[in-house]
Amino acid sequence: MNIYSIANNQLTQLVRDKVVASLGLLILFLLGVSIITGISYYSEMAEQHQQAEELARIQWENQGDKNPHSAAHYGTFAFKPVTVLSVFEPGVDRYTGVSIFLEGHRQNFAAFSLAEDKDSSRRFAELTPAFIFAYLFPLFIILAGYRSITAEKESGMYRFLKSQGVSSSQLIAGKTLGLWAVILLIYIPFLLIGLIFLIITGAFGESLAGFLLMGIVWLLYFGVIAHITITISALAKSSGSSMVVLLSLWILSTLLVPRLITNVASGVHPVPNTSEFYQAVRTDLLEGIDGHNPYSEHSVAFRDSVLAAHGVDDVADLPFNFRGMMLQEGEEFEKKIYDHHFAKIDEIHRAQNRLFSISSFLSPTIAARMSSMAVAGTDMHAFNHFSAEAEAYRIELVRELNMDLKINAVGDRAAGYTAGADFFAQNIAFTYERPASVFINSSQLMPLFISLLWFVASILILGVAARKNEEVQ
Amino acid sequence: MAHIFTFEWLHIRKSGAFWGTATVLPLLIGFSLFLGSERINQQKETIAGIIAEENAFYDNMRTQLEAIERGDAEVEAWFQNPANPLVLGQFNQAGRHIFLQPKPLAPLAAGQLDILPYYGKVTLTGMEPLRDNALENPFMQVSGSFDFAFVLVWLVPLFIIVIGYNVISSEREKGTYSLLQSQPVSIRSILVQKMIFRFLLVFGIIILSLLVWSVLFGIDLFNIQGLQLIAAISLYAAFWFALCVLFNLFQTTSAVNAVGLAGLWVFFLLIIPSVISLVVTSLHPVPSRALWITEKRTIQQAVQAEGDAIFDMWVVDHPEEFVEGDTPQFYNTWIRRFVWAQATEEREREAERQFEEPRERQAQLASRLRALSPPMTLQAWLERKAGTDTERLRNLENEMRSFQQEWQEFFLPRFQRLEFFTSDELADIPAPNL
Repeated sequence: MNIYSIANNQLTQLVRDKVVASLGLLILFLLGVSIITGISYYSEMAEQHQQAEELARIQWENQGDKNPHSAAHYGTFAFKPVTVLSVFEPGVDRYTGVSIFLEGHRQNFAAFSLAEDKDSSRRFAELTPAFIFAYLFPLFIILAGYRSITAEKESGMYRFLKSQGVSSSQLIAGKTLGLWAVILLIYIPFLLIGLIFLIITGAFGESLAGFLLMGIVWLLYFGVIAHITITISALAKSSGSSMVVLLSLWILSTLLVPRLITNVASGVHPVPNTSEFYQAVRTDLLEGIDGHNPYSEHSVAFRDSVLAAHGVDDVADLPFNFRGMMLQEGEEFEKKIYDHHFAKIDEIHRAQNRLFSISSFLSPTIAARMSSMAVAGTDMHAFNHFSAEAEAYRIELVRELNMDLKINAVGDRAAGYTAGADFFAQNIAFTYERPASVFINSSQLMPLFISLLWFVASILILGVAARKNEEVQ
Repeated sequence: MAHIFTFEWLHIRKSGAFWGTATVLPLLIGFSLFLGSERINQQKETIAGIIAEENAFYDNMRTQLEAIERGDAEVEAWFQNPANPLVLGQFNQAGRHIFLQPKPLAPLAAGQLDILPYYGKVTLTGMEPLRDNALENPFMQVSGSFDFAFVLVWLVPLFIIVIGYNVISSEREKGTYSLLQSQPVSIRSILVQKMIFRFLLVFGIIILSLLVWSVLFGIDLFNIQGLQLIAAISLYAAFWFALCVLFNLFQTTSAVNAVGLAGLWVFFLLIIPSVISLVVTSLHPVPSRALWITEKRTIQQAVQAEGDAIFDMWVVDHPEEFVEGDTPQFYNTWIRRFVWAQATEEREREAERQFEEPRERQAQLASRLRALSPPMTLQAWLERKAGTDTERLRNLENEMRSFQQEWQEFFLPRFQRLEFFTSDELADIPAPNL
């Protein structure tokens, strides 16, 4: 009973507190603005990407009569999908390229990130729900809660409550519930707006699970902040020192640790620069068949082996087009090399992300951010899935082209062989589909687990704070 | 004044906030400068490595050509002939890299270097800014990097707030306020002098650690740029101390001051920037590159479709630059490619405008709006001084374009007239000024 009246009282006080109320309203307003601008941005991007995708296919089909292998060099594009949940949690979206050029002989990086075209003021802060939740919302919670216990002590109310038979645990529990109520007062409207938006954009079914999980991730984070705030308020000597300690923790968690870890991670697990990367690829490529250079040592050896296997002396006597075969052979070799080098980069990224995960033991913000990106499907893992699908498509398309050359460019048709619009229209098309509305692999579970751990730990320290307060009095 | 300074010193040396600042701030500054100088060393190494490779390639070409001229070696295929302008100016490793060399103050601000390239390769038709960091983990770009600019712009104000928020309000709370009032000096002048003392302390800590660490990490600050930097730091620190003075003038409690000042910090560093970036991108939206990619392809296809007409027109306009008759296959192929590449580039630059224009308008508007937030102004200034700002990095493309012109003027006429190079001429191959 006591707990609820304390909570109720706390809620009333906070709602009547002009500073807290206006900051709360400001946050709700910023959330509203960020969602509305996010929606229009999202729909514009989605439309542009769809147009681009259709255009790219039309261009592919209408590239004119040409040798299928020339078509492989001509290439086509895969466009990164635009997801609704990126409105709430853009994740790494702005920093990954929007499109991958798919061509014969090589794997390309995704190119043209949005960040390259945007003004740099965005690097201070970008108005998105994720930014508001990670940075501003904790400040709001701290502001609402830093005095919750210290003020009672400073005003002498604490002793009075004690004499009324209220225990420290009850006081702390009540204050915590009160703070939770204020948080929910802002958070629930946001969730409702978000759900309405999902229904409007017609992405309700596929995004609901991700959205709700994201909602839970942020709620856990707010809980951690709220519990720490009450704990510090219970242990601090004055409201002033409670404020200073909480702000320092906020800075550590949101600003200092993430930036420091960024530099530590790139120092401990350095990524090779692009020229080093290509140099290494080039060196390895020389070790195998070059589909374009019939004089290279490996190509000659391959040709001789094929000739021997078919018992003929000249490639012209083979029952198929040898160039098509050699190009495909070379392609498969090149893919192996590229796969190997890309896998190394991926391994480095994973190692860096592991460091980030570990650092989230120091910073609940990192844990929350990584988790929300993971469930929203806007993290590196989701992007890699897209790249991998695009690569699988590329190799299949190139194979179709080389096979056409190999099978059809024979006999009289061999010289000046071309494929036409009919053939290109038959080539497989690329449509990217995410495997599931929420797909998470084992490496992403770590931040989710740490988020949960923070939540449990923050409840435990609340208990400790209560006991300590009891002893002191 | 000396009196107040003495007492302030006796007073402040007992305060945890002061000693906290005096230990943590120098460490943060030191670490940021260490990372900055590491970054620059790496950058310089990359540049030196690429230049060495480039030189090795051309030295090798020259040795080969000399051997051929002496008759010690033979040319196996046209694309391996080191006298061929295409081999020297276009294929494989041929071409020159253009660099934006790190400025002396570059270690202070990483700026946009993690997003925009600082060097690129130029060939006869190619102009590719190389994204050295294309393989970087994008999660790192989201969090941003830890550099001196971050310590100065984001963290220093917080240290100042901690040191200055309760200068007068604490006197009131401890009951010593009436003692101050009984002094023959006005409270305001005491407050201002106390603040000046604290300002000098913090400023001294920053400058001293900046200078000591800079010497240690080989960053040269003993010049006009260093002076400008010190002036900028003093202005910025003064701004935050002035806000502290303002709060202490009102009859408010320390807690209210702390909340108010922290609120202003949030306002200047998070809220204004986020609103500015929103306003700027909503007013001047840059379209997605997705459509542009296909647009480029449309242009290429159009040029290809009109290929013969474009080429014939070029021949009519430039009869002296085309050798007719029985020329090698590669000549006929590549002379057309160059003409088409030029036509494509002209049209692509037209299409590129739809990005450049809103980008420029964004930048203009942002630079005007930045005046609303001293932290943003300082950050922009630091990046400019460090040469890691968007504007300079974007200029790489212009520098590459102007060098490409030089490169083309050297090689194209020779190719067009089918005049191969002699080994002596290889020394004249253009190189960018470093």
